[in-house]
Amino acid sequence: MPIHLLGIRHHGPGSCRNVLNYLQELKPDLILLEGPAEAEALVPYIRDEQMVPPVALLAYQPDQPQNAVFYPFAEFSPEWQTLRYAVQNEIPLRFFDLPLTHSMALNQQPKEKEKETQEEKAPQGKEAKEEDTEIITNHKDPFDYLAEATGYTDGESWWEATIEHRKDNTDIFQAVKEAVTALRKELPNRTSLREQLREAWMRKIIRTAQKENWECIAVICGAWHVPALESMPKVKEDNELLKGLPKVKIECTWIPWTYDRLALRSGYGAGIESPGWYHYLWHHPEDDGTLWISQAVALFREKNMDISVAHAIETIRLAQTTAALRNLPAPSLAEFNEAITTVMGFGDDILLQIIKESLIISNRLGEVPDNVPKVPLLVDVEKVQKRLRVPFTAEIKDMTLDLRKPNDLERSIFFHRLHLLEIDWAIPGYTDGKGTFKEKWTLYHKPEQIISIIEKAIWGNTLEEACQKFLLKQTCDIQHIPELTRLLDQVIPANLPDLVEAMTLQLDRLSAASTDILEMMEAVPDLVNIVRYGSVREMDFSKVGNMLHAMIARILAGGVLICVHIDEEAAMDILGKLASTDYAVSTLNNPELNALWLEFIRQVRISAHVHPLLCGYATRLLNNKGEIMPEDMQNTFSFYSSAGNTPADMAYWFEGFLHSSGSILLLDDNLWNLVNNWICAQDKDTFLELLPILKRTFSEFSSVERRKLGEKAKASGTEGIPLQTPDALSHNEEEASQVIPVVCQLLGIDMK
Amino acid sequence: MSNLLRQHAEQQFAEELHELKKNETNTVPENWEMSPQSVVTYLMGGKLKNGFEVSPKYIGNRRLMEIAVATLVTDRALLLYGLPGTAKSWVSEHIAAAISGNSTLIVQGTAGTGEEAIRYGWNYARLLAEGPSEGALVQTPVMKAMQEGKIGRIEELTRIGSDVQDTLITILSEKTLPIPELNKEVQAIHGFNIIATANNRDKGVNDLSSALKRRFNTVILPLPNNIDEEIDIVRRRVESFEKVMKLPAEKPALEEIRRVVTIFRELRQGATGDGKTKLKTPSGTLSTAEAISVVNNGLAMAGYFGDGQLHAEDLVSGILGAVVKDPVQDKVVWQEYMETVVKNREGWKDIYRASRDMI
Repeated sequence: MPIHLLGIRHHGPGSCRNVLNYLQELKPDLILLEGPAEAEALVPYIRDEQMVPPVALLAYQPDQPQNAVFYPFAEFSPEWQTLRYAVQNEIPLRFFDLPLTHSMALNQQPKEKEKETQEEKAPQGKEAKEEDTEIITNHKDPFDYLAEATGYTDGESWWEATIEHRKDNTDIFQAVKEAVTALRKELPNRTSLREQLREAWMRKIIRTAQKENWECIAVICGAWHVPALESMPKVKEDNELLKGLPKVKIECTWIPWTYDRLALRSGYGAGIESPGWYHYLWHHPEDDGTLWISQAVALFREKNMDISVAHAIETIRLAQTTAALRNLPAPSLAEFNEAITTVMGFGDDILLQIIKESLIISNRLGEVPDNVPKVPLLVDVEKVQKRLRVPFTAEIKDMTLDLRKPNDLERSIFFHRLHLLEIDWAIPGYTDGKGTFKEKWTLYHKPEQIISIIEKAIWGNTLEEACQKFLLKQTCDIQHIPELTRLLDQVIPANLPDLVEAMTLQLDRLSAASTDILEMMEAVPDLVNIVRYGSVREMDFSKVGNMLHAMIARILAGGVLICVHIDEEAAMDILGKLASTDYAVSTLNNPELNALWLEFIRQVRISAHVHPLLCGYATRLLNNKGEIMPEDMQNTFSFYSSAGNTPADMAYWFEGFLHSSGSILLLDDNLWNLVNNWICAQDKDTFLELLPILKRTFSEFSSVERRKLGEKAKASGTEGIPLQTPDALSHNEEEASQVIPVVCQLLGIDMK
Repeated sequence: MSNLLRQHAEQQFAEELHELKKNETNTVPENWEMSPQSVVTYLMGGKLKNGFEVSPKYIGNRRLMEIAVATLVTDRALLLYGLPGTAKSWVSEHIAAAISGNSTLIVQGTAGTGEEAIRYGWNYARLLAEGPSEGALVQTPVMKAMQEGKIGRIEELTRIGSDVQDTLITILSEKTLPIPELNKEVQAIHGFNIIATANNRDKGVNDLSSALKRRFNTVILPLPNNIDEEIDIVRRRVESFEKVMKLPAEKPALEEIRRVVTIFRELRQGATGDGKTKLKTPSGTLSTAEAISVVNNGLAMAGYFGDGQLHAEDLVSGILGAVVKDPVQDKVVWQEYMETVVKNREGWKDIYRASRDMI
């Protein structure tokens, strides 16, 4: 029973071809492939026509899905072609790597070690293993030594030139074996304990296979392991090593993968920079570059660049000459890239950016048959995706949804739910332009998102259920009102009425228990948003509306107390909240709420010991709303500027009154006249006393505003303008009505 | 010992070229002196089979030189493009010397370069006496290169007017030069090619027509990657100049070169080496070539007017000359640099003082 060891590089199109040729010639009756034993049950799915690489085997711990590993396969992966060969020819295939039940348990151990220090289950102690891995990572790629010896820049390009691009591949596996054997002899101690365990396990499986009397066994594994499988140590040694391995429960499934993720630049990179190039190499082994360059040229022309056929010819010739100069059997991607830069790009490599995405990486997404076992939540998500026609795609996609359309509304709800579950496939964006019925989303699929979905599967079998339960748990942990309203704001668009109700209850409970009026004030704008947007989405948020009433009532009850006997810093803080709450309440424009809110402001204004800053601001708000008669205003002014006040209080009051309103003062003649008349009415001495305070208030404005105000003051003379009667404040109905159609047209509202 | 002020590359490195030819193992293209691989070795330096050490002429990315040489193998013309002082002419001279053994077939492009400088001209005395004849024809370097199968060089291609530039199109695509007056033509033989250089800063002055552009492969020569590479270049070039110029001063301390290169790099990049301070950039290019000439200048000053040691004063006048090209704006740039960076830098007081004395 001879054993044929085939050393490969994962994802090498050349290796892939070699393996396939070798297998076809050898016709083995058993194939052992490097891979986890748990995945064997998934092999038959490869036969399914729906299965399109790139795909990945995903193995995870059902109780801790974040502890997961991927085994990505592309069309040009030797492992994939071996699997296909085995399935097509009905040759038994076994994965013979260390089962994941052990190796994932080994991953977990360092974490657990902290808790249970006395536990000494792992053979030879864990410290040794950790140190070993460290040494390995510090070392360079062992193939770099071969590259150095033969004059290549790195191990990668050595392997590329000598193994992958070789046209004649007789005895290639023998050569690989000899090269790696030599390397491993020169570089002992390069194999970590984990690797030793894996190799011991591989040998164990090979021995079992030998005992079963197979005629011809083909063993396909990473080139580095070949020598260790060639020379078998004593059975006892291996068994010793494999004794008492820890175990965890593992589940496996197929998931679609992308070329983007195969590339080096991404997280779970398989270490190949240019999957698109390998894809091309696999499909067109005989091409001399003509097809590759033609594809590039076609792309350039699509981008409106004048690239002629002559350019293409010269590029291929240059690439070939450069390869010859560098003693390469055929131009590699580097030569083609350099030739494109030199001939087509006039020395500038900007052109490469154009072909990088669509040609060199050539992103594509694999497909997995529907009947592959999946967690119910994932099945549900896929079902919804199919119904709403928003599948996972390889490329990043922007989507603008019009919430007035039922289909778009459903999509939006779907995206919001995923977002709430922390699955970052759909990323909310900002819409330009006005209108609350538009939403922008960026869809960016990463295969890891599948993990997130599996991780959230414990919360429920449908997206809706999982979302509700997941957020309910969060809601119960929240102790601050603004935090809760912020979350509520996110939950509303996900259309989860039960959850909203639960959250509202929690909000009610919190605000009843809370004495922190500031927190409540902070919550008001969010609640107002919810109530306003509810109507866009045709949802009933009367409960939230009631909540809002209760909240403002509570503010009214206790709000004034927080404004008394406080220092400037606290007053500034409250002023900001007053401003945003006032804005929110005004936008909602609900008469009942308005009345409540007005009452609150009035109280702030008249209560004793309120910080003058807030008192001034409240006066201003009331004045804006037309709640104070002009005469009354004059009196208030005199009151606050009279000598009985401390200068600091006066200054605060004016600061509050004119808070960030330099421009308003310029444009609103009523306000201007009020202030101006009052100042004009002062006698010289009082004016001199007031001057520093006024100066301080006005210094808040920008220099342009100050200059313009000065000009305006100069123009209006020293006497001031007589007070206008209230009816001059009211608008001219006739003139105003002429503007309305234009405004409607601008806003796109149909008046009919 | 020759008393020439400056030797051509093929004269100065005659021994290296000879050794390279002796050790040739690869195929040599027709009419080339050596194989493309050897040309690259000549440019980048290396050890030959018999142990002979070839000095590096270009310090930088080897792949660029490989592309440049491969271009000439494919009989497309080569355009070396880059900022002033990035060794374009230097590389062009050495490639020509290595491939043809002759770097002198050169046309200097200027705004006044006429068609007769590129194609052919006439000896008017003989033209009047004999009428159009071969004897009255004045051959240009390009014409000679075509006839002898050698590399012709055109410096500053983009300084030449567009109409004159375009006379190159026939030469590069048909590889022929018609002489209608004599009803004749000169056809290029194997080995002929053109290396042109052009300057980033002249972009847009006389842009190449797209027909001509298509005949050139372009290689952009970048500024040195990092400070150590740049210091290495300056040091090598200064040392070779010393030999040629017979300067009486001592060998420059590496530290002084480092300071000059640092100043140039920082001003060029508009930020200090540690990236902490933003700087204004002066109008000049501040290339490596200028750093070389500053150090040389300093050496000469030290040798003839100083004590033979290179001091800050000797360097500062040169640096000032390179940085302050515009008397108003650049002076502000320099003073700001002095006050914000140099003044506070450990051990740079001498430069600060010398510069203050001078401005």
